[in-house]
Amino acid sequence: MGRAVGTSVRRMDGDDKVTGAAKYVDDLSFPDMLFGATIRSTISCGEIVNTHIGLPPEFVVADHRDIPGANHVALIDPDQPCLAEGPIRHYAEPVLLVAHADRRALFGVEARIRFDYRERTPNYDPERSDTCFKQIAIDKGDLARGFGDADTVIEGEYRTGHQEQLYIEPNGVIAVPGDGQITVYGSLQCPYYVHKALVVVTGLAPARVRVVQAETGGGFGGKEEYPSMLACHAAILAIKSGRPVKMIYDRVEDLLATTKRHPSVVRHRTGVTRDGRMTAMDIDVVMDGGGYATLSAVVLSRGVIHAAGPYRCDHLRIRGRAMMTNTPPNGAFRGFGAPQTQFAIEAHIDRMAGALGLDPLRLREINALRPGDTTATGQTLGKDASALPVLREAVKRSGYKQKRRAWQGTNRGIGLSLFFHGSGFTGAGEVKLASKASLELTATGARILVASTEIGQGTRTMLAQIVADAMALPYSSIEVHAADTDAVPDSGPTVASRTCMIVGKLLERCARDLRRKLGKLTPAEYFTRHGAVVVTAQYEPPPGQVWDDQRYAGDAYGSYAWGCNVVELEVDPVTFEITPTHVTAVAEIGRAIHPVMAEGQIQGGTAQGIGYALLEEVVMRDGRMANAQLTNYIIPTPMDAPLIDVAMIERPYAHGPFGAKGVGEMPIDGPAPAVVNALRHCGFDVRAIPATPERLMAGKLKVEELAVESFS
Amino acid sequence: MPPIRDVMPAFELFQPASVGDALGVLDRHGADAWVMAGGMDTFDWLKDRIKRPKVVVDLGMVEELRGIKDAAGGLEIGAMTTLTTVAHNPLVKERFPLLAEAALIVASPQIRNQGTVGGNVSQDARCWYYRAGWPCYRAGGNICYADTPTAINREHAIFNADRCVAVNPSDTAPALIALDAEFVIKRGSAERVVPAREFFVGPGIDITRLTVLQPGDLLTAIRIPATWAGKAHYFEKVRDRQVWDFALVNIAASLNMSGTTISDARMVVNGVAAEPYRLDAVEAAIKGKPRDKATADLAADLAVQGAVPLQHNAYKIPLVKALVKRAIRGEAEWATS
Ligand SMILES: Cc1cc2nc3c(=O)[nH]c(=O)nc-3n(C[C@H](O)[C@H](O)[C@H](O)COP(=O)(O)OP(=O)(O)OC[C@H]3O[C@@H](n4cnc5c(N)ncnc54)[C@H](O)[C@@H]3O)c2cc1C
Ligand code: SF4
Repeated sequence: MGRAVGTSVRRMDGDDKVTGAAKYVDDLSFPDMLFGATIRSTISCGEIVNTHIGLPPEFVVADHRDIPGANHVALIDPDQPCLAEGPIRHYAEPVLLVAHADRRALFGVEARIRFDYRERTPNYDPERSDTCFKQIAIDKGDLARGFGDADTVIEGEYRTGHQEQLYIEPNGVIAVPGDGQITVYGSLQCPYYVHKALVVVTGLAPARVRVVQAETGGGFGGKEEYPSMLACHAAILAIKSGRPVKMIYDRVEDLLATTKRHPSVVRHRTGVTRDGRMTAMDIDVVMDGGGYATLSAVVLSRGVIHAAGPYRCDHLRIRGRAMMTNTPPNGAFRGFGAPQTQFAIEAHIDRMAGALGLDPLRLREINALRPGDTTATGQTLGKDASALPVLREAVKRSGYKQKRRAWQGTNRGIGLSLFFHGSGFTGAGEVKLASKASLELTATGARILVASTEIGQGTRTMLAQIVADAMALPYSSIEVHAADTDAVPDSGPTVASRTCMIVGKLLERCARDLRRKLGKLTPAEYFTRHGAVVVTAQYEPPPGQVWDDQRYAGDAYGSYAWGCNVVELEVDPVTFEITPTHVTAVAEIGRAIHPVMAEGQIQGGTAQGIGYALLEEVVMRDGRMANAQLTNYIIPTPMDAPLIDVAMIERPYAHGPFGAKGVGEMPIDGPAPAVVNALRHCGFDVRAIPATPERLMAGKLKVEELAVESFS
Repeated sequence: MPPIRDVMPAFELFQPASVGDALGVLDRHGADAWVMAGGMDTFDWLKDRIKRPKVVVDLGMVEELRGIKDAAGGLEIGAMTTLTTVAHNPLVKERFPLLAEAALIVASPQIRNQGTVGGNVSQDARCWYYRAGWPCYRAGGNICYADTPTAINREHAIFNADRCVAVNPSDTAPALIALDAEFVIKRGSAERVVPAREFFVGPGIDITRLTVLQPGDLLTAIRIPATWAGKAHYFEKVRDRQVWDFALVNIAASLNMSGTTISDARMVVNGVAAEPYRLDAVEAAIKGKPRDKATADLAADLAVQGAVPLQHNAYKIPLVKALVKRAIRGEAEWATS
């Protein structure tokens, strides 16, 4: 068995994308269509007391009073208005919508609308905020005893900044009104999230709301929740005008107004014995949620669960808080909280190693989680727990030990990071989602019906490979239906590295079911005799998986993917320019359904992680992104990305399709700490990213003496 | 928040085919006209609606402004010659590799294919407040947004600021000054030839322009004398990314060696002041000295005298020192100072 799985078949969407035939949302047009724009707040905190609109009547103008249903963006908490009614919590908060038949007429329209504000003092510091969106506590063992067993205690504070997802296609939607119904086409990751939000805002029955994903040019989490807001805006204008309304952000608006990665401050206090065993971990995580709750609670949750890294420790305490600040809301971004907290622990490990006089590799080997060990939440790991295998493979491939010695005291550095990433929703999340996937028999094969979206990562191809092999049909006989809520079941959002492992598994079950139905018949024969048939599967948790949401304990994820990065770099000793020269990225992902696409995820995630470490800085000035352009919010180009040597290890997960786990997010957890650890090898004490050359310069160059408290 | 920045605003477009016609149009429209060469700087201004000229004069058809020719052992480069051509031209590479290197490191291949050397030296400041349309000094207002304690001024000036702290962003400008180039400017039927250094102006002279070019002026050619042909040189650009990025600081140096001592030198850094910043004191001090560490250290200290950092750009001071040292010691020594 297995003709398609494990081979790099031709991508289903490839030809249309490279020939330009694929239709993105801005390629779509409808008769009588208007173009919409958003008028936003220009303060960060206060209230709108008066609005002055100087627009001729051919403009359609809508405000919160035009919302037929409830005025909030449905997500976790109903705190975020779709259009501000008065109170303003952040710069660029949407207040009014305008539409016009001529796109050009919208240029500069904001200058003809003026708000009178009553301003209040904004707060931009999450640690000084008095509004907490979410608090999480994880406790394991007995912290006092753990510190009692330690020879020394090592502390550290680590900071990460905002990061922009920077999908190539900015956010955009078209809302088309009908007779008591509405259809939205858009660039989006989660059709059913948008559907839910539209039902709330339009007040229409769910069956009267339809969401269709257009071809989507990237998401990285940036199109997880934000399209719900944008779709509601277009729908409000469409309902008011009775005409289709297209809204496409340009890059500046997209950068200024949409979600980014949560900035974080993570503090570690770790008890460790002289020979390097971690006996106690006390971790405090603060995330800056921005102005509204959006997904902060779940980002924080994934962050704290990964905060101890892939290490064993019997006694630990983790505290996490997501705080409100007067900045645009932060939200989903590849990694979802885990890159922040694993940056902290991985940078901390190298500092501890330095203090103990151990090689950081040795410290990791001593403490890495092994099969049978328990994680911070007390989850017992299965045979596929692969921290040590990925670490050893990366060390071997990269020549880490030899280079570490040879480059000591030079301007070349080598550093590593060890990390893991849970696949699928956290805790009971998947059970609550209760995703469904369907498979429809066609005359020539089968058609996949899921709401999981293709956003460039290869969803369609990968799902078709799974179905093809599970049905013993050729890959070319499998089709994928457009992600259209009128036609496909809710297979859950396309997030959390869950599409392959969870939705792929549902489809594998459908495919085996359909195969049984066919018996000895071919699809064509069965189809002629019995007509179309659709089978559906619904998520069931793997046997024995338990989660206690009150205590934050139990099986946080069905499985984890494991990774190790070794970064080699050079620092120019006088200009402090940092040139990453080589990255070794070893990943254990269960099974690579499509090796080329899986490697693509690792290559891309690694480059994005290098940007996070070295280049990408959202400069906030008065709560507003001051560098909202690609000339000064910079990401690595191919010229800045080093050679990335990817190695995939496959240790199948029993409950994944053909053994597969998730691969989408994990690759971004490791590069930033590996970069910083390589810089430490060159003598630079870096505890905050991005590590720009001038920060290295200002850091006064040398690793400080660690304040080591002695307990003996 | 402006939607649809990608749409060009309306303006009257002229595409003259000769210098004479171009000068005629410029003369007629005066301050209403905008000269467009490759458009790589121009398009941003127009699409963002920050500058709103009524008339655009596209020089793309003026063939006589393109090309590189020998001029008594030196070179004359037409203003419309693309950066790619300058970077790869055999005569430029043979005689003035300093300029070829500077041109080759500008922006990206696409921008170099389209952008011209005339446009590169005439381009406007990149200060993001100014580019975003804030009504600052340079835009004709009476405040500088970049020179405040909370401002974003990492890219800004450390020398010779006067109200405005923006810098000249060009990579070819310091190279041309270090080669003693002259700029040929036409206006109506008149022609004037300006030494490269005098082509650039600081805010003390004109806060709204980086060059002497006034409405009606056309830069037609850049002349480089034979003086520095085949002499030692050094060019280095420090930037955040390896492509597509402006210099944080760059340095261009020409060195005439007699034996092992420096008999004459030009040294210019850019990205540190509103004009390319010529290091006169360094040039004088290193004359007659060898290219060694002592000379480099002396020069580095002289180079940054009078530097005044802003909140976020103090790193430029050690950076200038480092680059000056490298320029003096030459490439073989670059990693060691
Ligand atoms: C993303 C990006 C990155 C960049 N990176 C760099 C970089 O690293 N280094 C660098 O040096 N530059 C850089 N630039 C700037 C760009 O290279 C220069 O703007 C380009 O060389 C300009 O040339 P152009 O022919 O396109 O000029 P245009 O944009 O057409 O003109 C620029 C200015 O010069 C004036 N002008 C042009 N020609 C004449 C003439 N003959 N007579 C009178 N006035 C004239 C125009 O009126 C205009 O004000 C970058 C630009 C971009 C967009
Ligand atoms: S530095 Fe110059 S261009 Fe920038 S804001 Fe100040 S005055 Fe304007």
